[in-house]
Amino acid sequence: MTPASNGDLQLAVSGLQKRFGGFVALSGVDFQAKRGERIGIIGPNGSGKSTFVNCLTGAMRHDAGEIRMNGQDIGGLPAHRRAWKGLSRTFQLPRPFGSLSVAENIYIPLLNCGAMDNGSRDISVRATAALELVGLADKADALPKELTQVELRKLELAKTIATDPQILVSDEAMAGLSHSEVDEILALLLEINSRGTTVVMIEHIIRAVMRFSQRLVVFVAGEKIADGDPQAVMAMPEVERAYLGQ
Amino acid sequence: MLSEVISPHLAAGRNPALAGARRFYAGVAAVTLGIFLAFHWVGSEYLWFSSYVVLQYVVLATAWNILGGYAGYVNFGSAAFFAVGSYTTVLLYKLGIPSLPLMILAAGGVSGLLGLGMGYLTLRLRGAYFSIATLCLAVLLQTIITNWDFLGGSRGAYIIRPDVSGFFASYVEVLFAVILGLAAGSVCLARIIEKSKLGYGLAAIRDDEIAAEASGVPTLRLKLVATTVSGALMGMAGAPMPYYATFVEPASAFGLSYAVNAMAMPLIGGLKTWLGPVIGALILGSVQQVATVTISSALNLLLVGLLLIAFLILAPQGIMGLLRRRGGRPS
Repeated sequence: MTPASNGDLQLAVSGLQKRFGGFVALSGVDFQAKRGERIGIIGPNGSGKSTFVNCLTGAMRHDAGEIRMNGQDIGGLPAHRRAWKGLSRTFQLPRPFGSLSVAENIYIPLLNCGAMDNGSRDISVRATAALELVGLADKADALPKELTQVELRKLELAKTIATDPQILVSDEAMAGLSHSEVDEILALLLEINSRGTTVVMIEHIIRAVMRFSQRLVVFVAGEKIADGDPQAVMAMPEVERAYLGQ
Repeated sequence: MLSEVISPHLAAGRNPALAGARRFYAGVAAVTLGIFLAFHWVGSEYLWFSSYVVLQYVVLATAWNILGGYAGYVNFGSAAFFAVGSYTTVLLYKLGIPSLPLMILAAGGVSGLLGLGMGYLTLRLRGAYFSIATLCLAVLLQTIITNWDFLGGSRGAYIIRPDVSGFFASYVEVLFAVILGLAAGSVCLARIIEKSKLGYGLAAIRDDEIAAEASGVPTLRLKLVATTVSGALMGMAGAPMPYYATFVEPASAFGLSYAVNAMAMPLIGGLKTWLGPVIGALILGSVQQVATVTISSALNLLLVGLLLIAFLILAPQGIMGLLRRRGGRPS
């Protein structure tokens, strides 16, 4: 891997564009992440947050722009290759593998993009470790349909944590959860970050975003309108306007 | 590419799985040899003749299940792959190369390539759309074969069986031994796939293709492997057919019963394991053989349809699902 030109710059997105027919979902978004950073992304519904995640992780092809990770252009790679490189994501609505047990759900990423740095470790050991971290170890043999909503979110996170990703993009992992459940997921994301993973959190729950983020990015109508210190960003009149109207 | 994809998922040091695999192969070998010797001892021409069809369906159902059961891509065009296998045999025969092992290999190659082509359809087509495309593929190929004069066209082609001497009582017994070997081989292959990284990857594709990609599963590559292996096995199942029937014509080679049975047998047996299609093929295949002699051969498809409806209502997870429920594990 070639080191990034700009010190510890891990992810550099520039001019990212995505159109759906005549609708411009992303119009030239720039975005950077440093190694180990915690970044929150907020924005009203339809502002392009999820499209950004999809283009970033390869679930969708962007129309123009560049995505660089560790200095390498990954914009042309299919989603699974970006996952191999350590760019991991969770889905807004949990997408477990329904016919596989909870433990087997973790095997899938481990088999495909895990075990790269320490390949000698047994896969089931690593799966158990990930499940223990999120507190699902006792459900290892259960099927996803037997899990509660918050457990499914934890399973989503466990699927990414298991492979020790470089970057985790969490797409609204807390939507629809109760106050205490939000805190549980938040604690998990902080724990993942403390292990060296850069975490990009897309979230609607401002309380969680403010507690979590070292840097806050605001999307409105497919454009990034703010990027900086969370307190300062929240105080910006444009941000207030986007959220509260005039 | 294949070895990389198939590499067993269990890291070194997990001996139970290896021991299990060894026991499995020993079991398959013992059952195969046992059946062959028992049938040889009985020495009934009819037994070989009817068992051939049942075993042919074991291969076909197992092949279908590798794509349909493991990866969740429903192939309506099994008959086309089967027929392409049969007609590869006819082609080699007409070209003056009447070697059955060679024909089986060639049939596997041609049908495998056809499967690879079908695999690229999965790039754009999922679910019912993919299935309809496979059906169209079958119609297209049947039209081509029907109009290919060298292969007999719509009149069909005759094949003369070689003489046998020595251990085998008749050429039908040779064919029986061949299809028995193919059945054993395809069951072993299905189990290897099921227990491998490839099998886990296919299961992830079946459950959620986008999530599979996000988990690092190279979905297209795995689907191509599945369609190729599935297609190749179907072609190999069809390769000995011209010698079995001594006559091939498009309407029967592309017969609806192959397509229907290839799907119905795994559905009735159970989709997620190698054993499901085997059980389904043995039961449904035997029932049809009995019905052919006792009631009428035209009734077969009706029987399959009724059984399929009954199973979809009473046991949607197939016989394996029923057994698992009995065993106490919720499926």
